[in-house]
Amino acid sequence: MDNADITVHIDPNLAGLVGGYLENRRRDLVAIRAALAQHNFEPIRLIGHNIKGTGGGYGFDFISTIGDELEQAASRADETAIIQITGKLADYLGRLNVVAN
Amino acid sequence: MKTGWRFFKVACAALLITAAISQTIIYKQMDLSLAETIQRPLIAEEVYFSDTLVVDVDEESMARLVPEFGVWPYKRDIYALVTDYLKEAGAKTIVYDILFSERREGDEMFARAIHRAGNVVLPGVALPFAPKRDAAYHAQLAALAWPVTSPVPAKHWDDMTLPRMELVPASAATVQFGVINLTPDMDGILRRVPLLHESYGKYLPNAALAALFAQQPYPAMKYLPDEQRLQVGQRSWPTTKHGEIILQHPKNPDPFLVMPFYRLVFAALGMPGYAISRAEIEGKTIFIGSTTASLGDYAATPHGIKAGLHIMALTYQNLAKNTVLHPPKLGWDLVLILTGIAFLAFSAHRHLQSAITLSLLAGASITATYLSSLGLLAFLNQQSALLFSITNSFTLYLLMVLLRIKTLYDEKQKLYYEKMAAEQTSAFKSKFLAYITHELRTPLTAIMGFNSLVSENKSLSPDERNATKTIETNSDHLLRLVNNLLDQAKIEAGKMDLEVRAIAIRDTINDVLATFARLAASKNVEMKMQYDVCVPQALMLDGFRVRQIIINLVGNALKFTEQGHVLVKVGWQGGWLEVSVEDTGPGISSSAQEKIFSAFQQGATPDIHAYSGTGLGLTISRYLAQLMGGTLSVESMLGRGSTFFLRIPADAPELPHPCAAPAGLTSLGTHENPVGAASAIPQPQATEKLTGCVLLADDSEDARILFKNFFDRMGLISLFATNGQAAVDIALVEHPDIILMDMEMPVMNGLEAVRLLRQRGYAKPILALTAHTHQAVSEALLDAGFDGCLEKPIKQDALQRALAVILQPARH
Repeated sequence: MDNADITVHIDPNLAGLVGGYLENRRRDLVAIRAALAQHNFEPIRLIGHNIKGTGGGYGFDFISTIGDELEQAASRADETAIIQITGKLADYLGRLNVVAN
Repeated sequence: MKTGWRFFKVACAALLITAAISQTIIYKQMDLSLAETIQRPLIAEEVYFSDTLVVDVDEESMARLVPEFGVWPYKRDIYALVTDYLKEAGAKTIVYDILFSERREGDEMFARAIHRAGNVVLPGVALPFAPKRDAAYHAQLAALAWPVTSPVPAKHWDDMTLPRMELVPASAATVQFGVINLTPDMDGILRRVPLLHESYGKYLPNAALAALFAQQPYPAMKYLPDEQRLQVGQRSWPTTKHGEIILQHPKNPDPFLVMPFYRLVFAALGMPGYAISRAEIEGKTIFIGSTTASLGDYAATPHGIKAGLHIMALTYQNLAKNTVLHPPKLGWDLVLILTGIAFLAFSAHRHLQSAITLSLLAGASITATYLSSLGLLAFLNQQSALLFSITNSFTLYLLMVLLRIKTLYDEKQKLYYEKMAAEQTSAFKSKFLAYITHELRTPLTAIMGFNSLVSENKSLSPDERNATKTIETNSDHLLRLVNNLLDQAKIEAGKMDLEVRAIAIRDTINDVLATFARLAASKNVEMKMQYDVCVPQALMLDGFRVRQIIINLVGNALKFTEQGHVLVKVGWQGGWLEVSVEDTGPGISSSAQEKIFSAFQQGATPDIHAYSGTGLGLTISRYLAQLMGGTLSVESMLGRGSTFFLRIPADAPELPHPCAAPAGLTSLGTHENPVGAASAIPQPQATEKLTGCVLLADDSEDARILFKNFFDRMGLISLFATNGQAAVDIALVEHPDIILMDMEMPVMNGLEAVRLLRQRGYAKPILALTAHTHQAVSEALLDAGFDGCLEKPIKQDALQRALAVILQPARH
């Protein structure tokens, strides 16, 4: 990973929704860390399931991929993988540059 | 050598045990019975002794002779008459089995007839007690005894009843006397006949032996102990160590010509109608005696009860024709024992341990021993210790079986303890795995987690951000090392399992390349991928392990390539995924190409060590490839780079499109966007307006918000439910034109909701929203009552196409 921005072009019709969607993803990061601290993997799995099903619809295919990996890592209670995936999501969200056109 | 020595010890033990068993009475009885009932009847032949005539003073003779000679005992003149007649007719030898020890009228006439004939043998009877004898008796005894110059074996008696002195004068120096005693064995069976009898230190012949040397000077005798033979004159016979011959009986019970005494007497008297042809007598040895119950003596033989008269004649024939049986000899018995042992020695040599094989060999051993013994008897008249050999074989077989059972027991015990040790080792390894998982990963998790937290801070300085990247890179590296060690431990413990499911292989490889993109850029090494168009979008694989292998291969390639490129080629042919990773690095020597796949190579050359890294990455990658049923190989030349080839079986999930719609519905949309750092730029599309009411059941607020946007753009009336039960309630009230149902929801999931709706009569289309679209799931959805499915994540155009099939376009 590097510092360069990740530019995602989205459907302009969804521009008004994307901000809220991404903010929810940031909240997901917090929820994941909290669940991980409790060694509670079901909430993490549900988060992964949710973002897997919605990311691509909003225009963020990477988020769908992350969601799939997160759901599987949580299913097998793989803490280290969850940390890695969360890191990738965090990095992605940190470098994301959304362009609606 | 060890096997041979072991077998030798067992064979010796069998011999000793058999030797001990052979001393028992039961064994001895069985031994005799075996020879007589199983062997000799097979060997015996039908024989007719035409050179012998048995004249029997039978019951009819006694009755017919009464008018002429009165009742038994007869005067001796009848024997004089008969003796003269037989001599005149050319009889070779006349042997009486009638005692002439008491004085009777006609003795002088009989004595003269005996003297004239010159070929008569008279009988004596040995006694187990000693009555008083006078000097004349002893003189007669001495005159009748055969001279002995060296020790000879003989049957000892306390006394001997001799014929009347007048009949056998003391001055006679030719053989004319023989003992007629029958000497059965302890079981009452007559098998052996002593050739010599001894009494008062004098040796006298058996009557049959005397008949053989009748009227000849007393022959010299010599016993040959080494050969176990008694030499008498020019003849010799095999005997027991007690000087007994073993009779061989013919198969037929009537091997002799028998003439009733009265016929001989009447012929001798010249009575008309009773003439005997010369041929019936000339040249024959004539035995005269009685088989009546009152006069005759009988003995039980292996072939039934026989009269002493017939036994005497048979003894004579055995001696004359030298058909006596040889007593068992150690040399032949050893041959039989070795015959029996040889089969079992073969099994020991070949380590044959099957119970059936051992039994067959034991049977073959006994059969071969028996046939050998039969052969000895048939062709050499040689008796053998058959039962000893068979008992030895059987004992050896039993000992081998017992030894085998003990070996099996010991092996079982050993396996049991080895299994216990292996289970304990495995349990220890499992505990070790769990311990290592916790102790190594826990701090790593903390490091990576907190580093991730810090990296989210957008206000980090460039140096601080670089520091977090360095921590992340090294944490990843350390995690990989730990994971490799744990994988190796799993492999050794046999606990490595695969989780096969449909994965997007292109996404997986893209993700790996993206992981190494920065490193490649920093080294000015070009990362390239060639993706064959025929590679299916999804393949049934363990995505986690495939990713692990690709990471190992690409990581290695990039690590040792300083300039040039790393090219990843992906192909799919005939159900096999083929991935090659080619680099322009230093290459690997041919001698090292196999060693790099071996874990922890010691004394490795620099290139082996370099490629091996921790010594595990390629080992694990190859093992994983093999676990999946594939291969991992390398082609390389020093200075020309390397190419690693991964080939694993990978079926495409069964499509045609899993959501095969019933009539009226076209195939539904799927998402096909690649995953990577950047997504394709979507083109805004004109949304076709539709008319109708749609109900979305999904517990995700993000999904409801998104779909509402889609529905609004399509001009649809939209209803929403957050769980399956709410969806059922709303649907039954509002009757939407179509329901889009998520599968995983609280309270009631999608499957339960659709079943309930169908039960309650809801007949309008219901589409499943699911991420799993392979055939098995799709069939389950259709069976539950869904009309089709949409694959998540769903985009607006796919939704548009799906709804356009069901709903009517809006009228403008």
